[in-house]
Amino acid sequence: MSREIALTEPLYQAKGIKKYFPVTGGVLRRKIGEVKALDGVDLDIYRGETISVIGESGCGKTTLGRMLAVLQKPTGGELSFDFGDGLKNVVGLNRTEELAFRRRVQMIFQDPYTSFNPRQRVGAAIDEVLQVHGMKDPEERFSRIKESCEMVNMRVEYLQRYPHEFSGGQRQRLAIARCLAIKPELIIADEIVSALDVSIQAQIINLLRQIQRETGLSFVFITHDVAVARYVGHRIAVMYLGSVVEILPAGALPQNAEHPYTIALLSAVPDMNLQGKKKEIVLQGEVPSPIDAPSGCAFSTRCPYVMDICKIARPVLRLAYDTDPSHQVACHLEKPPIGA
Amino acid sequence: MKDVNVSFTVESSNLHILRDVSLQVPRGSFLCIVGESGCGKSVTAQAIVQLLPDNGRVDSGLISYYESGKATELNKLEKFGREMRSFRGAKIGMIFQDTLSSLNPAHRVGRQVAESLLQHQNLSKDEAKERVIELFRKLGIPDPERRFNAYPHEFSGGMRQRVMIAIATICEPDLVIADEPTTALDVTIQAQIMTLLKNLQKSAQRTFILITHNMALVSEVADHVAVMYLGRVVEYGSVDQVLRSPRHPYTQALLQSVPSLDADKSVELKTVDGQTPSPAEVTKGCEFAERCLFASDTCKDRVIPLMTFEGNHQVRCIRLDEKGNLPKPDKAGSNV
Repeated sequence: MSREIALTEPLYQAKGIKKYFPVTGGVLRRKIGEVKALDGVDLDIYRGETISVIGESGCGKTTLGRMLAVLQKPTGGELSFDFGDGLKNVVGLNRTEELAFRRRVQMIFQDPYTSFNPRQRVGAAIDEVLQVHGMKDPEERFSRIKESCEMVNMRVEYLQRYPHEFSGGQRQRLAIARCLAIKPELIIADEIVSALDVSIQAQIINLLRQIQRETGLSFVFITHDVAVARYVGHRIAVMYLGSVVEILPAGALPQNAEHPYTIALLSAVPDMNLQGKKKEIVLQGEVPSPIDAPSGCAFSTRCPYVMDICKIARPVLRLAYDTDPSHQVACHLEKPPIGA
Repeated sequence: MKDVNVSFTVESSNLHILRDVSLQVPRGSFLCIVGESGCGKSVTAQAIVQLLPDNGRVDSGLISYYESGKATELNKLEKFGREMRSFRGAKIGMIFQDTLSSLNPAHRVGRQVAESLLQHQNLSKDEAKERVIELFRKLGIPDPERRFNAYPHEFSGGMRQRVMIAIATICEPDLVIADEPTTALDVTIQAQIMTLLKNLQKSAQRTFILITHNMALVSEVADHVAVMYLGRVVEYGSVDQVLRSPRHPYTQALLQSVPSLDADKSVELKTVDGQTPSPAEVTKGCEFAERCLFASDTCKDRVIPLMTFEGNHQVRCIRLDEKGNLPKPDKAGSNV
């Protein structure tokens, strides 16, 4: 994964993405408030890169994944994808355009038990995807399926089996094979290794890195595991309560993080090699509810460096103090915390 | 309590789940039991307090609880008898992973915490309430007087886990068994809970058994570690011995399959080929032999004894030489 990523023309761009879910109450189920699951997220995804999205539960990382895959429409903001002739809006496409977009952007989910139809042989499940995307020749389809099975190290004979005959790790491989079969340009992977035991998790992680190296496709890797995110991704986007608070090259972790939340998150991760060597911010309290999110900086209620301005004005992403152009932080602090 | 000697075999519908498990927990120490799902770590905890599911039973072996020089054999006591109940809750506290199903949703949490106090100690309701509120405060539950009367669903996951800890420790037990207490929690909350547990252990010289699958977590809290694989303890020793110089091939693989925060990204993660076999199809030899890079024919033929190395570092592997080093692998390691 040493390849340099050209951070010039994004493959996919999210600008100011907002997603509000209504909160209803009372006998008339009237809207009484909003959950701001995403509150203005900007994210550029480049060709050939893996960007890891990390954050704790409820920070909006899964919602962001679903927005990027346009499984749900954002409440506000723009999503534009480069189909080969420049960035083009992808929300509200007609049927043909949507199909063209879905052929390029695929999603894999956390739970491999529910992402396959239990009554359909896995081979047929993969074949169906190819048919939907207009591959008419059965032999061509089969050779595609075979090719993608080889990439994930699954024997072709297994395609005759049903989903329940596989273990969690194998099913996750099949889910990856199903994505790869239509040769997408971007795969959004939402917590795909979280349900697996560590020895199986390592197999899938190595596999993903290998596929990424060989095919050069882009990944959005959503996870709550900071160490895995750093290992898999070229860049890391750290989310807190519906916004991206820091974007940094994976190599900058753990030492060069600048947002107080990122540092706090890192210091909470138990790590054998880094005991006593990490910068420490120990957080008190818990993540506030996104229904009554604090005004100003979302992290201001727990930040040990909080200033008056943090409670009023929301910080936007700006260049980090380490002057790395691919390192951005959303924080009002005028110098990095704890002498970075 | 001086040493807890646990050695037992459980059989549930002919599945041999725990195989000759022996563990000693010195008084006042912190033991972690680690392993992947299905290795029997939770069953071990359940067996100690005799809370195995109805289809499970201890077939043989001894579970002894030492108290001021006197040993009580827990597995000889009647499961729900008066004596066993005097251990559970009062002398041995339990913390489970799933707080939402361990707490009764229809009762106020304060009452659930006070319940074991009223059961085990001769206190009035008001005294019990006072003790609970005091403990809530110590455990960092904000506004404890009001929270005493709240219901479990009104708490967040982290706060519910604090309530569970309160239930487990209100009677000031000597031994606390925590089964994956932080697995369902976010890392920042996990860090808070682990600090709390470690303080509870240190401040009162309590004995802790923590069951987890997270090796890195172990390194931050434990004194001793037992690694389990398919119902057997495959390696036991101090944290330094097991985590910094692991001897058993499985422990080594487990440690190398998790990326560290400062991992070299150009190096592939080590993986273990295949998957954990089901306990029904286990052979007579080493359970790990099928997936092991070092396995020889003898490994598959006979039961592997625990070998003891310097500093009471115990490893269940016959491929180690006298110094505890493994030979060069017979099979080439594969990456996927």
